[in-house]
Amino acid sequence: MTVPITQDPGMARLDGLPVGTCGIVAFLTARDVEVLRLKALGVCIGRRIEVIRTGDPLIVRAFGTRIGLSAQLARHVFVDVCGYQHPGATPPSHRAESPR
Amino acid sequence: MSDDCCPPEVNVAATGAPVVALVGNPNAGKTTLFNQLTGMRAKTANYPGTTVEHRSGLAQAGGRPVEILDLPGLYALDSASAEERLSRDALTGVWSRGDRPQGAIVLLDATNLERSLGLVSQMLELEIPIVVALNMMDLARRDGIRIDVPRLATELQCPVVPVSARTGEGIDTLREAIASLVKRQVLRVAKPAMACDSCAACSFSAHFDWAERLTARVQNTHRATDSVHSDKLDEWLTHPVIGPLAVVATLFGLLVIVFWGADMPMSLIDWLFGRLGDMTDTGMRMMADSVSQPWLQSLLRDDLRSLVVRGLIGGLGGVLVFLPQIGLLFFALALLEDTGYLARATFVVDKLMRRVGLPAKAFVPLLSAHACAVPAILSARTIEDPRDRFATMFIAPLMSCSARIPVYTLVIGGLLFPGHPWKAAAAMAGAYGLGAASALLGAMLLKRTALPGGPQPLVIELPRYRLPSLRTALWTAFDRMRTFVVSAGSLILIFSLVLWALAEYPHTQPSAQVVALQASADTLAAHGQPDAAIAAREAAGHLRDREALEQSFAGRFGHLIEPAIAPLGFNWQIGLGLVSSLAAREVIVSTLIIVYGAGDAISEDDTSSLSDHLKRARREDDSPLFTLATSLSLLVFYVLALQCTSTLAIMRRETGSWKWPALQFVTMTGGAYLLSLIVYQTLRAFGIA
Repeated sequence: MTVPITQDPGMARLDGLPVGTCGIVAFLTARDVEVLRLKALGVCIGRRIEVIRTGDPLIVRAFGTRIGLSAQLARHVFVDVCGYQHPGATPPSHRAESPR
Repeated sequence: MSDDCCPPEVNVAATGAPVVALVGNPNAGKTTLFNQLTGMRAKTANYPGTTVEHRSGLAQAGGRPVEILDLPGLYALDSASAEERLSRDALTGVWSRGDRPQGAIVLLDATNLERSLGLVSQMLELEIPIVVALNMMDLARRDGIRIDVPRLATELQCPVVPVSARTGEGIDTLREAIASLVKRQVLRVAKPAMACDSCAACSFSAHFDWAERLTARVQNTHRATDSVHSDKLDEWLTHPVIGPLAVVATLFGLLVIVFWGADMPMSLIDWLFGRLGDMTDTGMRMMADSVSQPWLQSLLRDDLRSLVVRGLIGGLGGVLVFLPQIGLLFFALALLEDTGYLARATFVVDKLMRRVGLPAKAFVPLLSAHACAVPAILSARTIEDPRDRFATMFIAPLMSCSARIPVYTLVIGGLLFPGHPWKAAAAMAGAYGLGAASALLGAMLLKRTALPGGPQPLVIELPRYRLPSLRTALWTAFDRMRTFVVSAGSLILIFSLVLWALAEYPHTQPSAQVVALQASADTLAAHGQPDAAIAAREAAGHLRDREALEQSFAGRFGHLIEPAIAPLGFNWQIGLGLVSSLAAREVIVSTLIIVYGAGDAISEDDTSSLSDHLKRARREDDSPLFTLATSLSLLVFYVLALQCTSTLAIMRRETGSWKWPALQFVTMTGGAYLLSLIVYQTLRAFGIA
C-alpha cells in the first residue's frame, strides 16, 4: 500500500484531530470494504466533516449524521482542516504523518 | 431513457400480484412503513443461497394486491457489503431469473433529506420507476424543517408522498401512488443531472453533491438536523466512563427481562404441554379399552400412546418453550434499536470486544446467550462480516444458558456444597466464569485459525434518538418467533423424536421384581388396603421405568460409552444421562431421578431429596459415585459440552450447512471431555476422590 505523505501544513490525519475540528476529506489511504462503507456514509473525498468525539472509536459528523468509526479506520482518512467549531478547541498537534 | 420505457420483464409474485421493492437507509423507518403497508402480514425468506433475509408481504393499493419486497436497509447500492450487493441484485433482477420489480418505493428521512437523497440518485440510475415516500414528516415539522414537496417531485420527476409511518399519516396517498406505479402510470424514469465538483477519486461524491444541491433548492434551511437533545444525550452515553456503565446497566436489564420475564410463560408452556400429554394419555387408554382388536389395543396402549404423548407432544413443547425467550429478546432489542441507543451501545463496547477479536455487534448475542443460545445465535444476524458472525455463533453456546441452571443447582447445591451457601455461590460464579472465559478464548483461537483476520473495524451511523414504536417491536418479536418455529421447529422435533425412540426401544419384559410388586399391590387392594396398594403400584411403576430406560438403546449406549467416560469418573448411568440430555441439558436431572430415585415419588424441583438419593448412589464396587471429583468433573462437563440439539438445529439453519454445527459439537464436547478428565484425574492424584 502506498501512503501519500503530505507537506501541506493544513492537512491532518483524522484520528489526531481535537473535538470541534472541521475539515474537508482530502484522501483515504485504504481500499477495503470498510472504507467503501465509510465513503457511502459521507466520509468521502471533498466532503466536509466535523470531529464530535475523539478517542477509539471516535465520532464525526458527516452529511448530517453522526458516525462512529474505529481509530483504525480514521488513520486512513486525511483532511484539510478548515476551522474549529468550539471556542475552546486547540489546533491539531498531530500533523499528517505516515501511518507506518 | 425514453418516457415509454418499462423494464423488459416485470416481477410477478407467486400470488400473481405485481412486485414493488421498498428501499431506504437504515434508521429511515422502513420496517414501520412496511408494517403499515402490509398490515404485519409478511413472510421472511433468505436470498437464494445466502443467509441474508428479505421480507415480503401483500399490501392493498388501489383495490388490488401488490407484493411489497422489503430490502435490507442500505446507504448506497454500490458499496461492497453483502446486503447492498444483494439488494442491487434484487432490483436488477439477478436473483429472480431476470424479473425486475415493477417499481420501487424509496423511503427518505425528512429530518435528514440530504443523506437520503444520495440513495435516490442511485435508484434513478438503475432506471426503475420509483415513488418517493418522505417519512418522518411529523418530526421534520416539529424541528422547523420545511420541504417544498411539489418542487422535489418536479426535480425528481416522480411522485413524492409525505408520510409518517409511525402515525399512519399519508399512507393512503402512498397506496394510491403505488397503485399508479403498478398500473405503469409512473413510467418516466428521471436521471439526475450530476455535474460533479469532486468526483475525481470517489464515486459517491457525485451523488452527494447532487443531493446537497437539490436539498438546498427544496428545503428551507440547509443545516445538519441533529437535534440538540441527541447531542446532549450523546455526550453522556458515549462518554468513556459513563457510556460503559450505561451499557452494562441497560444490557443487564435486557438480560433480566429475558431471563425472568420468560420464566413464567415457559413454565406455563411446560405445564400446558404436560396437561395435554396427560389428557391425551388418558384419552388413548380409554380408546384402547373401547376397541376389540388386541393388536390395535396394544398399539394404542403402548407404542402409539408413547409416541404421541412423549415423542410428539413432548417434542412440540420442547420447540415452543423457546418462544418466550426469543420473543422477549427481540422485542427488547427492537425497542433499543428504535430509540437509537443500540448503536451507541455498539459504539461503546467496540474497543472491549475487539480485544478478543470480535466486533462490537457480537456483544448482544453473547450476552443473550446467558439466557439461551438459540435466540442468541439468531441475533448474530446483525453482524455484517461472515467470519465475525460465524465466530460469534460458534462460541455463544459456551455461555451458561438457563437450561444449565437446574444442572448447576443440582450438582453445586445438592452434591458439592449442600448447606454452604457461600461456597455454592462461588462455585456457581465459577461455572459462569468458566463458560464465558472459554467462549472468549474460543473466539481468539477461532480468529487465528478457522476464521482468520481481525474483526471488521467499526463504522456505524449514530441515528437521532427518538421514541420507539411498540407496534414495530411487537411485530419484530412475532416475526422472529414465527421464523424460528417454521425454520428450526421441524428439525428440533425430529431430534426429539429420535431421542424419544432411543429411550423407548427396544421393549423388554418387566423383571420378576416388578411382577412381584404388582402382584403384591393387587393382593393389598383385595385386602382392603388401598393406600398401601397405590404405594406398591407406584413403586412397581418407577422400577419398571428404570428398567425400561436402562435396557433401552440410550441405556445400552451408556454402557457402550462407559469405558470412554470412566476416566472422567462417570459410570454408565451418567452416560445414559448425557445421551438423554442431548434433547435439553436439564433432562439429565429427570433421567437421574428415574435411575437413582426409583421407588420414591420425587419431583425435579425437590433438589434436596434427589441429591440425598444421588449421594447414596454407589458404583458397582460399592464405592460412592458422586464424590467431589466426580461431581466437579460432571459440572465442568455441563459448563462446556454442547448438550443441546436445538442449538445444532439453529446452527444448521443459520450457517446453511452441517459443517459448522458438527465442528461446534466436536470441539465443545471434546473440550469438555478434556477438561473434565484433567479435573477428575488431578483430584484423584491428590487423593481427593
